Amino acid sequence: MKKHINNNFGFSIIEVLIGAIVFMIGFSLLITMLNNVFVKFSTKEMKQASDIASEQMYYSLYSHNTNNLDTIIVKSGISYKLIKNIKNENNLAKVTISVARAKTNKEIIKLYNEFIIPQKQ
Amino acid sequence: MTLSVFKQLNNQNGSILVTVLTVLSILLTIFVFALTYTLTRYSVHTKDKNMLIATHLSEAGIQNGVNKLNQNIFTLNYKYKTLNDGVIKVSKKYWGPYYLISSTGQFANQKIITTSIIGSYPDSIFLDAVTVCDERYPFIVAGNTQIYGDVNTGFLGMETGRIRGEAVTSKQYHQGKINIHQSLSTPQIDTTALDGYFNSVLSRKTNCKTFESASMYLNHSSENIFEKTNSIEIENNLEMNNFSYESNSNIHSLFVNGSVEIKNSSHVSSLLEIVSEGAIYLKDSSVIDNLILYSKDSIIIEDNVTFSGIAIAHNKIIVKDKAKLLYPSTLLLLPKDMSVDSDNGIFLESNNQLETVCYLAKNQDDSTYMKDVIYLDTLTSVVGAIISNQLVDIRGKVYGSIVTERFKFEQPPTTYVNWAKDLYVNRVLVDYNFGLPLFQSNTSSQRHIILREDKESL
Repeated sequence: MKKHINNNFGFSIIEVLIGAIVFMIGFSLLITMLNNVFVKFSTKEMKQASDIASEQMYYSLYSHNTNNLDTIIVKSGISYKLIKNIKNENNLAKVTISVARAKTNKEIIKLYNEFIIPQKQ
Repeated sequence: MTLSVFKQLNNQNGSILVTVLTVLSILLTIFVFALTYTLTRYSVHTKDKNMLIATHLSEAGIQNGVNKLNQNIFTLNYKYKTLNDGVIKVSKKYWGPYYLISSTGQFANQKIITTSIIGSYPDSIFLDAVTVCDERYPFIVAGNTQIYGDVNTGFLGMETGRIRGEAVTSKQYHQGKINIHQSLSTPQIDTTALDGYFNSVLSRKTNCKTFESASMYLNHSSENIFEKTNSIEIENNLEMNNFSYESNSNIHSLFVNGSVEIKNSSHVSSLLEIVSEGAIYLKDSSVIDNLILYSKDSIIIEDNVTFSGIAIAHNKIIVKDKAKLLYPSTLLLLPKDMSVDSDNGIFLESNNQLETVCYLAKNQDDSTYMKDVIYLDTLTSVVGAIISNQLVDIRGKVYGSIVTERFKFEQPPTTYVNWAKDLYVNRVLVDYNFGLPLFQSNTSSQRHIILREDKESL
């Protein structure tokens, strides 16, 4: 140890280079881990889940569909769990659509909308 | 190659330090770029997701508000939390003969405001082609009349007749039923809503700033006129020349003590109201969308103007040249002064098909005397509804409904009372129910319909 401190030579260039590369790989792994802990979902998952939820919501709004739904949808190899829940209150349908990652059941997006149930003539 | 790199690395010259630093900085740049790119992409997607949620929340608020109106709950100013931790805020205002519902959907830091113009769902009378409510005279058609759809008349019914020098109308003039009613009445516009609007106009006027110079000229560089105040009063005339303005969440008001000219390809799409003591002229190729024009005199829409707002006047509304009206445009004439020599009315004389609802109210001074008219010229056609509490003189084609107190036809020196010549009405071709202004309804609940919806991100 004493020898090292008294040594007038620094690390060699190769050592510095290898050290930097190891540091970067380690830092990247750390970022990926943090990403998984805090960010939860990939952008691809968020985009696809938003599309699925939005499509299902507009289908319900325009067709005045009041049926509940619980299904698995596969998009680009990723499985999503879609749950549609509709409550009728005073002629108003309150629609909640949630899309989760099918494997972990982690919710990615939850949309809420309402529509007036058409009265039968 | 590998050998030469090792040779260089073993080199004791200082240039190797530069090489290594370059390699390091390239690696660092790639790393920082990748990290920034990922984080930016992620934050953009999160923002998109939150905006989507907020948009649906704001739409939900509109439906919630309309449902409350349908249940006869008219005081709308409330806030509620939703099942996905969002917040919806709903409020209602009067907007001409309509309601204006604003709904703000909030999720995380995203806010979307949706504003909707709400009218009334058409009564069954508007599913028919022609309704004539004056029971003192039969409804007589002459010339080359064609009516596709049902006709409602008083107990004297409908007949064919001959105007001087012409043959009797063919028996094929009507395809549909003739319904004879004992007491028909023309729908009357909801005065509560209209008075509510005029009161709100007055309150906005008391809070406005007066523009310093006598007249105001707005051009393409005047977009920030409403930065400090929502309401401006102009002492004399207003001229909009190649003026562009767009905002669909706040009501802005211009009170003009003179006349108004909107011209030279001005483009206004906004919840803007222009209240003028003098006439309002829309000219050239201007596009006027969503706003209210309220003139205490007349409104003239001419040249190649495209109009899809609400026009309210006391004397005349004229649509001429190649002007275009787009759904859900509304022309509303509220005659006030009996002493004016010339007859008031709505005159549709454009060489175009007009998508509109025209409404002519009774004369306020004497509701029994009818002299004002909705006139449709031979080259003009209307898709929508023509509703008159006085007279109509229809020479052009109507795709939709006519509901009137009485028809007017004059061929000097003869005045034919409740006659129509060469009438063409086709209700069959219009397979949708157009939204109408709010009417005084005898039934306890009036169904409400969304005429248009505009969104804005806050």
